Amino acid sequence: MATGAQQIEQLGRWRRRLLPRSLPEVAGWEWAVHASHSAWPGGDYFDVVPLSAEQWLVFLGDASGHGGAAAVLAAMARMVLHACPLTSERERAPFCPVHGWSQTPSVIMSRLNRVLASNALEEQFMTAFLGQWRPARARFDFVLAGAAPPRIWRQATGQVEAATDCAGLPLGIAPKEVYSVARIVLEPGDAMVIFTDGLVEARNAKGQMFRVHRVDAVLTEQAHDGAEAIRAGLAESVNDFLEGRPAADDVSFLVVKRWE
Amino acid sequence: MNELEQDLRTIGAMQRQMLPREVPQPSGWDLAVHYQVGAWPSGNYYDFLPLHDGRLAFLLADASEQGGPAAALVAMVRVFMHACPLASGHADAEFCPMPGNIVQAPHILLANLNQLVIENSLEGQTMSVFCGILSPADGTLHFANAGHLSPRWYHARTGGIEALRYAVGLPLGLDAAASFHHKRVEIETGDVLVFFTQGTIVDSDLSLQRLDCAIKKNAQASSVAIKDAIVQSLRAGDDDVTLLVMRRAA
Repeated sequence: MATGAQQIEQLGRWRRRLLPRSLPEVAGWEWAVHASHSAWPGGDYFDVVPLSAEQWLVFLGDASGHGGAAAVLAAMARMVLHACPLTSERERAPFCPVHGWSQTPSVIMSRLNRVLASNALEEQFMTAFLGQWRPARARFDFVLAGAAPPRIWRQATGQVEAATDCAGLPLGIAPKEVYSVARIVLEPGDAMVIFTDGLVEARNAKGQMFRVHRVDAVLTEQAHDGAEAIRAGLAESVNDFLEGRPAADDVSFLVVKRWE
Repeated sequence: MNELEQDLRTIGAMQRQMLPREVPQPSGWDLAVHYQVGAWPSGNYYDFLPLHDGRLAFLLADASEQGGPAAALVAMVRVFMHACPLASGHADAEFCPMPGNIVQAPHILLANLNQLVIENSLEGQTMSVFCGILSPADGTLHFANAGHLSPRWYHARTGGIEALRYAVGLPLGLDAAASFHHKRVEIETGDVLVFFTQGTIVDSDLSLQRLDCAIKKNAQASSVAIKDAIVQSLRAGDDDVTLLVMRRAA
């Protein structure tokens, strides 16, 4: 019989195993992902699910609480996204006849919300970014559930801006919550960071938080060099800020750069 | 209480939240459930999904081992069963075009669950599942079995007990190419079905005899009497026990 600590370690292993093995490879685009789990695993969950040949669902969620209970919540969210042909490219015949089309981000987020509301404990919730990425149109149609809007560096201005904050309530709180869609169009050269609270709320020994302005600073500095450069820069910047101490929470973010 | 204990307790609370709040009692039938789990999060899971046409879909499952990963697997299966109209028999018009009055046959459901377990669980995790759809009016039980212990079937006509050994396939999670079979049997008036998890019969043959004995002695009484008699005959053990008794009332 596994000890309690082993069980939590196993859940951590389960989450690593289920991380997408590869990021989408589309000419003119570059993705990078950073997922560092705290010693006591937090509730971060990121996923990239192909919807069809030219579309992906990009999900970054942060389940409330820590450890096993947060991992179970992430497991539920994962099942909703992966088990159904309306939220993933994969056909499920002969079980399900539906194939060839997918649901919109707001409908998918509403469904996730209903499922978590009816299966999680009252005090549990999950903040999330859910975007439908269509590289052919350089477009993200996205919804937010209590998550901060992504940061976008614009090549035209050299400035960082926040994506539209259209956030609805975190998932699992109000079953009838409506999630409205906003759109991000990335122009050639633009770069974007999608993140969870663990990044901006990482605290150093003095009790200071990393905050979004440090994200913007790294983004501005590294945006010309691409997604991996931004990822490495942010990871290093957080590490320097924490002076090498481990973060109390998971630190997860996704970076995307449009080259041309 | 340390952080770990608190975490395991929270998982336990999530699991209780996901269990049926009441046991359905279809007309002409008498059902009882016993669910007894220890301090660890459990791999035991049962569920009832009442369908619009009066049929009752149900599951009894046992994930390999106990603890956190088993709890995650149970949660995934439960979420799938309730969220998908083809499994639950209930439409989600905002999301899915399926009308909710069609549910997939048990063996097709198990084959799909098998894929989902393989794609989404920790390596090496398996789950045994008995999946049935009961038509209370005519006593037909349509079922498929993914490696779960064969239920006991008491025949009122003869007083004998047989194991419902049909349509048994591999547990979920072992083989992506596994196929599952299905079977229909007719449960007659006065018959009793007892579904159970491994923890019920930890000491094998002897337990099975005691189980049968408890069923026979109480078959004419009620499903609760049968359940109570079985629970009394259990040795105190560490294993999780889930028992489901279905009796077609005379």
